[in-house]
Amino acid sequence: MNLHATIVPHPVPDLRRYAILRTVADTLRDDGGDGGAAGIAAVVTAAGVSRRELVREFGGADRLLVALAAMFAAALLEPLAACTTEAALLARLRDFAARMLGGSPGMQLRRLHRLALVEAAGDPALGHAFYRQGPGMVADELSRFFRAAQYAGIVPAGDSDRLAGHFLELLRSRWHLAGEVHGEREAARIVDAFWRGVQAERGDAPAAR
Amino acid sequence: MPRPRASAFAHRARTAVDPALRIDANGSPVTIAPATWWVCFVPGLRPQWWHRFADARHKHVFALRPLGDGNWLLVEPWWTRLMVNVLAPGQAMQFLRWAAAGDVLAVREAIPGRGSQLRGWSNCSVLVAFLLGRGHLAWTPNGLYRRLAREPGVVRIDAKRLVREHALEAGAQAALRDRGAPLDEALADLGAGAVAAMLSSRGLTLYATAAAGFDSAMDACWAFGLGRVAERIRDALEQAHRDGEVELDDCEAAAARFVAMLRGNLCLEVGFGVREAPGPDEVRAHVASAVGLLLRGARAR
Repeated sequence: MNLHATIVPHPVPDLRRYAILRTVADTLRDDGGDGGAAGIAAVVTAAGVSRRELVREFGGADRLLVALAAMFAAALLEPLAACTTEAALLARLRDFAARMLGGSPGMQLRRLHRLALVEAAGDPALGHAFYRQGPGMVADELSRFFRAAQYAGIVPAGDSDRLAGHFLELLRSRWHLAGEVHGEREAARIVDAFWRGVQAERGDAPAAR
Repeated sequence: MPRPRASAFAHRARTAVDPALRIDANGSPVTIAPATWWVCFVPGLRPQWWHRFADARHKHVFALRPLGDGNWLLVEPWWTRLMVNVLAPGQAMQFLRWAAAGDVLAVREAIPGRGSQLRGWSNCSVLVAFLLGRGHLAWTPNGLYRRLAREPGVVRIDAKRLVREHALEAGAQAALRDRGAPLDEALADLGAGAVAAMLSSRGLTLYATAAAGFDSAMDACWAFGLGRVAERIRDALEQAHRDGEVELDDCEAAAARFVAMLRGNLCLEVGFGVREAPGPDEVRAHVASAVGLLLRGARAR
């Protein structure tokens, strides 16, 4: 049995699709800091992807943007496997946070969001699709992760959606600053601050006077 | 100093200067990424004889840009000199108030640019065009405005809105101090106001406009918008820290995180059109949750 053929049924088109996603993602990282000003079409051009190839592989720049969101979401969510101990939960959260904030991915994610905000202003359906495949998917899965931890008795009962929203925004908290993306140390600090607040809700940690 | 094309004088540069000094493709010893300037086309502050020949709103032009630490860099051509100064936020606000009476464009400077020192006549329009590396033959502020406004990538900045929000926020701060509210209530009040502002159509438009523009515009939005809310929250947390109410390693970081928690996924959902803006009850619950998480996380002594 050809294992490679089993895993990748159409190797050439899929590999090319993946290669385009990687190239555009690299361009987002290396971009000079235009934010969303250039638009996804300009980023695709800068990445050296021809219009014909873009249409053949994705159908258009808008779908490429959504595919990028899904790719980043999948990479972010990898560490969030179910866990049964506090130590495991914290390790997974730190891994998740480091992926979101660590140098290049942090810069790419920030630029991707800004590009999407710009494109969504002229195409609400695109904004909807981008959110569902990207940040919405991450928020839903993180909420599911917290819910599972609540069932396991690690996280106190409460609104897991809100908890996920707070945690995600803590991680995005410095995205407004140009050129500044926090590294793993900042990710660990944010997880610790978040966890202190969550723990205190259960009464494990001293509350503020 | 003239900066001729590197290729024409490369041999001279290599023989005349320290060989260890590296020069880039533009003949500069350092390579600096192009910055984005807020080019402000304004009416005059005092009547001048030449104003009668200029446009009603665009009689003068100057440029400033945020430096990312709350300070701004100003370049303002005077009749007698070129004013180049780093401005504190309060000083920058004075210039933005002036700018609010005219029009502001966010323009990325061109490097190495297409201007020329041979052009002469260094009035404000010519000097600002030169600052931006533009070769436009515009002799008046309004002429420069029309040419820049036609360029792709140039973004119009609503200075009036920034000034208004700054004033509103300063008023809210004064009211809060007067009341002397407990920390959790003060944070809840500030938080509810911030969330309402973030989720308002004006706030969402401002954010989208900044996202569509440049990083420096994002910095400015922070400096005069949420950044000012974060400053007030930091002040409240520092006071509470001094009173022994909470212990925080870094009140400034805690305030920025609190503002981030306020934004939550709510703002992203509304921004991407996935849902309608939440009602007052949902906003209250959302803010209370963020306040709780912040204060519970603040370690007691």
